[in-house]
Amino acid sequence: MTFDDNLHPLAEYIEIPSGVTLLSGKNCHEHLNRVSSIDISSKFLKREESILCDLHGRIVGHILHADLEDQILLVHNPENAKEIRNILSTGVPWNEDVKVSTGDGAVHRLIVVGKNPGRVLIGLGIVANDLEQDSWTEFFDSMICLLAQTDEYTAFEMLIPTQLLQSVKEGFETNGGNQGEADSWLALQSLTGNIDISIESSKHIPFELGLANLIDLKKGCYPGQEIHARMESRGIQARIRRCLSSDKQIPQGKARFSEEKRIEILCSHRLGDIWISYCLISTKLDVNGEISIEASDSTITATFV
Amino acid sequence: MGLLDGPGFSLPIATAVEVVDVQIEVSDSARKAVLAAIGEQNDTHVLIISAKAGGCSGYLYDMVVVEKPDNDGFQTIDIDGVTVMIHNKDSTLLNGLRLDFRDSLMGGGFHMDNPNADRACGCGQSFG
Repeated sequence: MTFDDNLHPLAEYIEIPSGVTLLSGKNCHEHLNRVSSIDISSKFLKREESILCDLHGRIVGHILHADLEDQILLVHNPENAKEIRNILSTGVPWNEDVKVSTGDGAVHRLIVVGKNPGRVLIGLGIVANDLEQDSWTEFFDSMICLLAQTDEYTAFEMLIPTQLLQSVKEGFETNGGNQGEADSWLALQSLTGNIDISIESSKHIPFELGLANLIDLKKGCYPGQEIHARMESRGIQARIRRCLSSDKQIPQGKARFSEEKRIEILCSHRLGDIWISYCLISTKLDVNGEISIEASDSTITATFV
Repeated sequence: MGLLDGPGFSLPIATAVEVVDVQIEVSDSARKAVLAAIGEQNDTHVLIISAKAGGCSGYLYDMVVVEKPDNDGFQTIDIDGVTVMIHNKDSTLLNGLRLDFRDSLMGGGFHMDNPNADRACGCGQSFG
């Protein structure tokens, strides 16, 4: 599938609603490492993603990290911010210095995506070719990194403090960029097989969402690790994530399709004239092509992408 | 870092903790092992048992021998000449703990039996 028709010739900037949590204190890395699904690297300006899970191995939060040496800025879905902060602020030992602060609305996450976003960024004084994947570059009081680079599009990710947000947006507009919709970016992510941190993923097993890359079974124990290790060693996975395309939005949640087969819609986002959805279906079902999903008040025809 | 200097960040989140008077049991073998670990510093050093986030089951036990901390957040328990301290914030998690020591080449060392634990990790270091 080509995204060509839906991509801006230069760049769109898209604000993704986010929850923001700041972990600070000299032991913040050790503390996060004990509850995180990956080995936290403690490398200054490193961009990482990780998962916090409950004891049953189910996701509590999918988190983006910006390592600021003695502070870690955590960006996540705003819906489960309370649960994420509860995990982070619990179990801090008597001899460690760890503080958890909320920063919702203090920092904004912007995606800059298009066929040539470098042309827009250079107008703001940012040289796109200097930006790295997996590492933040400081730009005044903001941070930016390369998020994805394909033949069709390039995407950058920015973390911007509230006081600069408006001027950065104006900078984009002045240099040929337009404001885009979060839906387009999230649909694009679905088509390319990625799960954005803003997608509601809580209560799901990381493997069924295709987030095995955020599970490090060699790092040692973390909440949920025993369950993950058992699933990995037995090769048991009840459901798999698939991508659907449809003319209408498919309501989130559990539904049935063709002959009472079960499906769970994770998210559905508009891309131009179509809707792109992530769903979970049984690994035992071998279905492709077109299906009819029985939504609450109608039947929606969708096609596996 | 300017990114974090602007308005909108809260003060650190304060977590309310319930404090109970801690009672623990220490077996004779565990008491002797702790005394051996403290050595000649028994007058100045104490054993601190604590719980921290992590492990397969949510919390990890931690035991350290340190110079007696000048911190009124601790409860002090005297076990026949061995001073054990537990921080108030760990009191509900560790109250009723039974500490044992097994002198064995395989699986030896300190063992915790915690009545507050609904589940424990296979290695015995984690509980929840």
